[in-house]
Amino acid sequence: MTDFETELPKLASLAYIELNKDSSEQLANDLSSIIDFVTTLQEIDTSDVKPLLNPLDRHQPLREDVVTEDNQVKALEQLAPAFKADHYLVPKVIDKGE
Amino acid sequence: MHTLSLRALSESLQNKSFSSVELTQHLLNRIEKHHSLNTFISVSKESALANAKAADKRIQEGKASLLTGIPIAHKDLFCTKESTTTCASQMLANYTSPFDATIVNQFATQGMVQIGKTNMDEFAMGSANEFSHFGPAHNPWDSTRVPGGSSGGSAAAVAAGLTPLATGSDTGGSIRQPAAFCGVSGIKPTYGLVSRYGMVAYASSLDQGGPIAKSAEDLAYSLQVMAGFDPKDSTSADQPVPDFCSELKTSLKDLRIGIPSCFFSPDVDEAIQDSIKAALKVFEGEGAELVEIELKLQPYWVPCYYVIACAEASSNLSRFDGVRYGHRAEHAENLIDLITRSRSEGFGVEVKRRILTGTYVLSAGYFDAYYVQAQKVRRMIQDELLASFDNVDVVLGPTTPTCAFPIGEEIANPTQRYLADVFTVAANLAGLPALSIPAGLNENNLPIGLQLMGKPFSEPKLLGVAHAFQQRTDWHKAMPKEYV
Repeated sequence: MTDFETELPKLASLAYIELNKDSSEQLANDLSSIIDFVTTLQEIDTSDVKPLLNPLDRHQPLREDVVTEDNQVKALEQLAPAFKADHYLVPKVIDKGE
Repeated sequence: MHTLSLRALSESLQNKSFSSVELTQHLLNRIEKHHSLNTFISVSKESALANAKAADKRIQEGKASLLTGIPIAHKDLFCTKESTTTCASQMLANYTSPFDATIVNQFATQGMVQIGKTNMDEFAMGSANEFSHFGPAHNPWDSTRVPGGSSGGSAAAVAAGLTPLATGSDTGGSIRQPAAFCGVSGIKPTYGLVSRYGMVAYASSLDQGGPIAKSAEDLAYSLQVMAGFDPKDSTSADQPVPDFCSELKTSLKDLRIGIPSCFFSPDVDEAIQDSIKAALKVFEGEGAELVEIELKLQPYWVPCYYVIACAEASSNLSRFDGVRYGHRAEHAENLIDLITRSRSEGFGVEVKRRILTGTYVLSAGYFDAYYVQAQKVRRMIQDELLASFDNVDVVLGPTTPTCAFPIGEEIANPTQRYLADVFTVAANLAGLPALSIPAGLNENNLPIGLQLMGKPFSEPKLLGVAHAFQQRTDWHKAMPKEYV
């Protein structure tokens, strides 16, 4: 059985999800059951099998490299939680090295 | 009005028995009267009536198509400009898309009237509609039970006569399982037949949109509008669309029906087994031949599905960062804090569980053992299913192993619920078309669904076989008493 109590904080940080103290034990147990459940796939010998990425297995069509849409800044601005002068606003990412 | 088929509604609108405005108002009244079913997340009353008025004008001018003036509801993951697209998540609770999904456009172009957006499991992750930020939808056959999921609101709304047609999406059974639980018909088309543009992604190599309606004939009329190549969807199949409606007159004589023995294990409710066996007698009586087939990889379908679906979900849902759209946490200390807290506040428990599962199977050290292995098993599953169609025309069995279960039922762990999709996930893994139609009621008066699966792009055959069954049985006409 995979031990998710130690694995979970690392996974959560990779997925940008905050762990809640009250629910993380339950979450670790759930992930453990899910991973044990899917581990059965390893019983199958797949040594000569190519992975299937897309069920149609066709070439993806390419469109002409031409502009099809005008600038949508106004529409996008309306969706953004914080937006100013054509830019998305985020908390400061560069400090002054003070 | 609310019990009529699409064809009967169309004829009534054309011969002016009632107008689109009257029909739309009638359904809006019913939606309000039965709001406790919680099948709709939003209802577009004003725009629906305005569109109905425009449809009436179109009918008056003789410019109508078959579906003009008929109301439709969209699962709340199809992007619409007219109303919010929430995916039943706090993350998108206030999100209104700047564009319409291709299929939303296709139905609107026909003059259909969009009456609202239906409830669902958050981001289509669930089999019971219990994982909705807006609360569970209820099954009209027994409101203490789930309608199935993730397209639970769509199936329940059709079953209760709140809309004659609703769209759904099916990643592992999300159209067919709720259709089975609610006693309506639903089809998951071949991967690539229907555009996914504007359908918020859960697992892109498995997701496929499709209709939920009262009968196979209604599904054929709807699919005729939805199907076709879309240059905006790079996985859309560029090939001619067959005439689903004129091919409905399939003869059952000499039809070879594959019956997988694994679909009749002791885990399947007895009433469901009995109903499916009774349906087989109907097919046999019309000259169909039953062929027992073996699908040895069936025990691996659900594990394979969950690895691939969760991996793709963790990748697809990485777009929600609190910066460009959707929920944004307040007073973030820095960018990482903003993204992490926005996601943690915006996503519900099942979505987090699947993102974390997906992150695990894609992470260094586990990628080959889980994700690549699942993709290889997926090819073997597809090969096995395709090979079965060398000997049979369709594969038939129950859609689900149980009927609708009680809302809030305690389960030991999440994998127990994942088995609700045990018979449906194969069609998604292999990209095959599959539909569910009503085939009986159990001792508690709960609907039983029959699933038909076919080879890629065999929708005309599947719909024809389903229609032939519905010409000889009345299960699709059954409605829960208080909604007739």
